[in-house]
Amino acid sequence: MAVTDDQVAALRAYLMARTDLEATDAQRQLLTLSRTSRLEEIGALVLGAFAAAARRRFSPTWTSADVVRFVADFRGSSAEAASLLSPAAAENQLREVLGDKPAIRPSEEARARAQFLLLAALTVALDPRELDEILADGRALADSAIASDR
Amino acid sequence: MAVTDDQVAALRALLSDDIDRYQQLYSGLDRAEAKTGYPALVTAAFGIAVERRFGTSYQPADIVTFVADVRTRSDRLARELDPDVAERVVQAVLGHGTARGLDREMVTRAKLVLLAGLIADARLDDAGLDEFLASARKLADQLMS
Repeated sequence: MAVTDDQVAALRAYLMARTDLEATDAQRQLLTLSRTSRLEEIGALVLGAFAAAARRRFSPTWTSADVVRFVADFRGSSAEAASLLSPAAAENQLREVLGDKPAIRPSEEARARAQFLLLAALTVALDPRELDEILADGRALADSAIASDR
Repeated sequence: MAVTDDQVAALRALLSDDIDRYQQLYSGLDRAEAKTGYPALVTAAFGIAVERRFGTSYQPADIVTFVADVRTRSDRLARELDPDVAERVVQAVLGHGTARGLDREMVTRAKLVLLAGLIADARLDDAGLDEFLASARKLADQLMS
């Protein structure tokens, strides 16, 4: 199986949501898809898009301080963001997709949460064309990962 | 048992960023006394420094930003100071949550690193540092009595 157009559209709607109503609709769409399609593909798409967005943001070079500051800026934006996202898991996941080999591996739930929230943070200021590029790159990465897992 | 002059001198050297002197003084501490008096002194100093820095009108983001700021001072700090542990020990002093369940060694290390960051930011002169350490010593003695 590969990532479907519906899955990309649902993630795009979520990342483009700018009002509570749009976000609620997009979350419902993602939830529906998670019940009717394979979770593996949605997870791979989120990870792929997250990796593409992180590489775009931090290329060509980055330092530990850049990663720490980015995560802190996001978590400092609201009490909810601070409580939802573990800084250690967030930094770990960013470093991993940037090519580092972290010594620890957070739980699956912590990894998934970090990827999802950081993807939203990394793409919030992108215009629709830039977001489509990220999603296309992410989809390609996801399809490649799914194929190699078979 | 009470905090000793040697323990205060060791912590003073650390907070003055005189690492060679700190290592020399710390290694010369009486081992038995250092297991109780010195951790109590560090805990008291950390508590006072956190309360002075954040007071009662702080936002969660202030703690996030402070911990991140300390960790960006060097690659070593970014790697070695766990941000979850660091934020929790600060929050615990301010009455939110607890540091219970965390590895004791990690907690002590986090307190020392953050304490050094708090004191560096406070830019205390010699008299200010002496006054701060006297307050910490008094509190530590109360905690151990």
